[in-house]
Amino acid sequence: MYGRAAAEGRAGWKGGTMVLLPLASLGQHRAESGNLVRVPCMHRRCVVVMVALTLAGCATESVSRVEQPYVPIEQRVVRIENCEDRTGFTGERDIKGEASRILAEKIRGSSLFEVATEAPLVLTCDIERFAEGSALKRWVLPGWGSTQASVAVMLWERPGDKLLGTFRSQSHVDAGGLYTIGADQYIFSVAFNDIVKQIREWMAQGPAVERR
Amino acid sequence: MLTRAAVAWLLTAVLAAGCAAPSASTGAFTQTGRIESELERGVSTKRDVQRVLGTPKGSGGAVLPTDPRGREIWYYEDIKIANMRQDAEGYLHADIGQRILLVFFLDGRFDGFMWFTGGGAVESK
Repeated sequence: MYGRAAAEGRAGWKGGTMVLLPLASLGQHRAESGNLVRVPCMHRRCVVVMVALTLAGCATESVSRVEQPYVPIEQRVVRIENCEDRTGFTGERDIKGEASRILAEKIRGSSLFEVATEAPLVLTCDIERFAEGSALKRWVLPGWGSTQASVAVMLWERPGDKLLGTFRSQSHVDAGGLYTIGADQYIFSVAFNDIVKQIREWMAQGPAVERR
Repeated sequence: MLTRAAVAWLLTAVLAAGCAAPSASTGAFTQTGRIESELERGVSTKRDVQRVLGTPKGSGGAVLPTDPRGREIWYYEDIKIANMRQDAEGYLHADIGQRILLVFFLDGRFDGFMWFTGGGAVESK
């Protein structure tokens, strides 16, 4: 138990700078033409901007970590406990309910486990950080108004509450414009997708595989 | 006129952003008051500790002096950096607070804990 292996990965990409390029180009066009009436060219550039905005819509990064080496699991029936809110979030949203619902949906959709109310495996969930953020603030200044969610999931085996695995994901939308409105609605989904991915990779490995 | 208005609005927003001193946190462990009331040495399990304190940030093990039996250790941290600001001379100021909690397990059961805290104002250039 004392030699724990850890894996760290980063996924995702930032779209903020991609958006700035066509916008800068648009501004240059205005300056060169001296007016704002060159509609065909403007229209084309607007299309470019829209495409860039669409592509940059998922400006999300994830940092994930698996802290236990793989332990063979014979059972695949799991009970999912409600997430605990450890954030001290004082807003009106029920982030505990939201996160619990999304985790259950993701686990059911993953086909990794059969979900039941009584099961030999238990998944516990902690919401460690949540910030709603603001798309307007991100647009004004990248990094300001960041939307963040950090969740941790532990897999236990009953009876005896043997800890099998710990999975943690931190997702955030730091940059982007108004197209990132609603990031606070999908940030848990992104984080739990990452958790499911970690569990899948963890279960796909044989025992005694060292991770770096 | 539209451009001027937009620039004025942007400057206002940036200035407003400057008013809020940036801060950062690793995420707190908030239920330390429940350790002594809800966890029982030699009885409580890891699951009980997770219920009270949440998922640990790290784990490992150690053999402590005077007892050859190895103990498993869960690690919790809470580091906060607040009121980050730069003065006119370019010095960066911030208030840093840190809490570390170690929870010990013997044969899978809760066997005690240790915490320490520190912090203060830092300055760097």
